[in-house]
Amino acid sequence: MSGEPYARTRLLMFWFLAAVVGLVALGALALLGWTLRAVLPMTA
Amino acid sequence: MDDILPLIALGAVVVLEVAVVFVAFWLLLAAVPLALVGFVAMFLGTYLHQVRQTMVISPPAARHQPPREPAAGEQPAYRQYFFSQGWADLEQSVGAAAGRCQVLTVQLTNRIVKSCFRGDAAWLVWPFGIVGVAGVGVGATGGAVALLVAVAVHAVLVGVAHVICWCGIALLRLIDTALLRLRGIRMTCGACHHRVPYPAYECPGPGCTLRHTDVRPGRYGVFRRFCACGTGMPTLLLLGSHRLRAFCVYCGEPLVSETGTAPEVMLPLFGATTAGKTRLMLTLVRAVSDLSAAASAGFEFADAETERRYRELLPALEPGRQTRQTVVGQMPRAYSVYVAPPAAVRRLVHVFDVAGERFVRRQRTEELRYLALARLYLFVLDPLSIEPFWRHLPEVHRARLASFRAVQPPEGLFVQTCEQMQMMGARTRRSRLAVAVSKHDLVCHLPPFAGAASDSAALERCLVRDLQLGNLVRTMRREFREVRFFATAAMLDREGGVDASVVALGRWLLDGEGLAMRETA
Repeated sequence: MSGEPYARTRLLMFWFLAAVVGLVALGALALLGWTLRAVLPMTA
Repeated sequence: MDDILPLIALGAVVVLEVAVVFVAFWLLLAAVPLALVGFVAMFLGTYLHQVRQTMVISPPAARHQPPREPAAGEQPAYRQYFFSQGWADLEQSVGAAAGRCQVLTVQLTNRIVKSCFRGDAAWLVWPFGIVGVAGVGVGATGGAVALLVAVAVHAVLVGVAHVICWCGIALLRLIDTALLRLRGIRMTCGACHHRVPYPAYECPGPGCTLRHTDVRPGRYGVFRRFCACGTGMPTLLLLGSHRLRAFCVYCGEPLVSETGTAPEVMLPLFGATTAGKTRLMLTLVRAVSDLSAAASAGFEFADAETERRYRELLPALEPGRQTRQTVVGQMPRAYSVYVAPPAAVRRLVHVFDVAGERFVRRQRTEELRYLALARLYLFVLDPLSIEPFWRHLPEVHRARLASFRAVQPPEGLFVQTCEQMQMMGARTRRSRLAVAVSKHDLVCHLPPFAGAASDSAALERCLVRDLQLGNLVRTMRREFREVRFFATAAMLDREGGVDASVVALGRWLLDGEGLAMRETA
């Protein structure tokens, strides 16, 4: 088998990174939402 | 009335301005969180886009290009991704993403400044400009933090993968070494006789002849490595490197096929010049082949070179023909065969045949490293070189046999070689010794050999009592764990079968190495 030696590792790494960053972003968004939900009733 | 109109207009403007500021203030409360979320999404999206560009769409060339003529410590292979390229890709992705995010932020700010702080309506919409700038400021800050977090996650992933690779390397090497030890597998070069810690392998790529001197897991690959030509190859015997062409790391000569898959048996032949070593070696290989066939065991030449030399020498075994004298100058190359009895582990048997002159001078014997590695030895004793036997031969027989007689007397040669082997590190006291009293076809009808070749004990008695070789036999018994005597006639019969004496010798040699051959019906 010959070809670009890093192709498979790079592809795996990209999707893994995208999944981790996506999860972190979703987590942050959920945290923000939870904070706003907790804070907004107090300011009303 | 004219004085009031400007005041009314001014009042209206003030009211409008206040209303705009009021709206802008409330807009600010909504715009800042929205801008924050938007910028975070934009920065993360930009980063992932750049990572995709770098890693999938248009990957850059490898940072460390593999050398085609590697210096010491280098290999003609690409470094493993997480040992080099992973960090280069990270740097490139971060640089490109940071630049892109900066450009987007500046463009957005310029657009807000242009539309809210310049132009005819600036006096009215400037509060919205402040809201926009504040949103951009807060969003860009949040986005930068998110970008930093993403970069940190990326760096941690590469770092963790790097550490996992090191652990994998250590674990794989450990497992491979342990398995080789457990299976008793060692690798010896048949040409230079060095123990090879791990073979060098030639790239299996079409047209590529690059040699990898150390393929084991390391910075060039954990499970596989990629040659400079781009061809992948396994990094361990455990992972299939035995299928590649292997070479000795010391002399560069090819090793046997499937090196490292079977435990080795080393069988050095030693004895005087023209004692009949080559002839005996050939018939012995033939006998092992025949025994294997009769026992439905596997037998194959371990390399093409062994097969070629064997086929070349084989005609010399035909009745009436003699083998050529072995060349002194060359280092002896092993005759290597794989033997696989049905109920035992396959073994690689190296038979070393060397010119007798090598055992006369110590310096020449020292070069034969295999002597120190073997646990099984075959001493070829020419009965014609035993002085009392030769002296008592009738003149007619002496004239007939003179050309077959070995040059050196057996006692001196054996003792000197044995001492030399021990000095080289051979553990003879843990080894077995087969003594082949050769040329039995020539002396079997002559006293004292007539009737003395029936078994080992009879032959030993004959050597000690009749031929005054008591000292030699006692030395053999003292220096070796087990000694067995055989009277051998290294010849083929008319049907091409090996003489029974050599078959018996072959059977004894194989039995002691766990390669017992039981004939199948």
